[in-house]
Amino acid sequence: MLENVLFYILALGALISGVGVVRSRSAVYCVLWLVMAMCFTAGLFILLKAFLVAVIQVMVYAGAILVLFLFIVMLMDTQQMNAVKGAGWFTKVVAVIAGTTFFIALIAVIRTVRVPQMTAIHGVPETIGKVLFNQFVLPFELTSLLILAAVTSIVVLAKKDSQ
Amino acid sequence: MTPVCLPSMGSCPFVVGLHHYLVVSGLLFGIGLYGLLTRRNILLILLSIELILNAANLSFVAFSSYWGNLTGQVLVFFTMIVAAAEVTVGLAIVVLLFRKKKTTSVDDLDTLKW
Repeated sequence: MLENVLFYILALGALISGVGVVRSRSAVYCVLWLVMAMCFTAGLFILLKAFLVAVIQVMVYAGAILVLFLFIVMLMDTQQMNAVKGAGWFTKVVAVIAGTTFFIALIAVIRTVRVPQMTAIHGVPETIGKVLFNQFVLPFELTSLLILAAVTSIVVLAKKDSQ
Repeated sequence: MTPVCLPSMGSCPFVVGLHHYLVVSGLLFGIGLYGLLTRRNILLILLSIELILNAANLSFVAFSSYWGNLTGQVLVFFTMIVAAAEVTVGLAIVVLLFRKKKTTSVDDLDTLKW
């Protein structure tokens, strides 16, 4: 019973934070709303017994990626950024129609999903590590290559123009 | 602890099951899509993409948990890694654009349009 109540609270929080992300005026508030959405989603992960994913979500997503976002937003001229005018009403109507259509299509798919017998599998570091380092060793190593490429590209991009 | 009634039967829709998580995920995706289409600030478009990725992660974890298969949770890690790489490179590009063009509005960044 408690799990149900917690689910509704966390889901409502995540959705409200999501609306805050897309509707908020100030860019700083948008990032902070997204931090809240990430934390609520981490709570949902805990309800789903995915403990490691929840911790990583808070630490890496809310803690590192969004702080990086916050740094960039604050580095830039916020006056100039908030002056960027929003989309017109036509774009908004189109966006609402697109979002709703996509959601309805997803509902149609979700209705066909069968729920198997609930098996409480705990996403603790031990079990996830076993899957990650047995089945997914090659993709895991490839992600290090991806990160290396990202780091290299950022070093190149951040360099002062030399021409 | 066994559930009294299965949510898939539709007999008691308030008992949380896989479908509830999927619907939340779908709603988050829809909200993110709305933001992606309405935002005119390139930074906030990136932020909406993060929301969409988050929605996808939620459905990954929900399926993984209800089907007793950890592959979904491992995939979430890969999504996070790719998102981190995407965000860092994207933000670097945004900073460079802001330095050169003095704007972050996608309406002003239309040199590729013809």
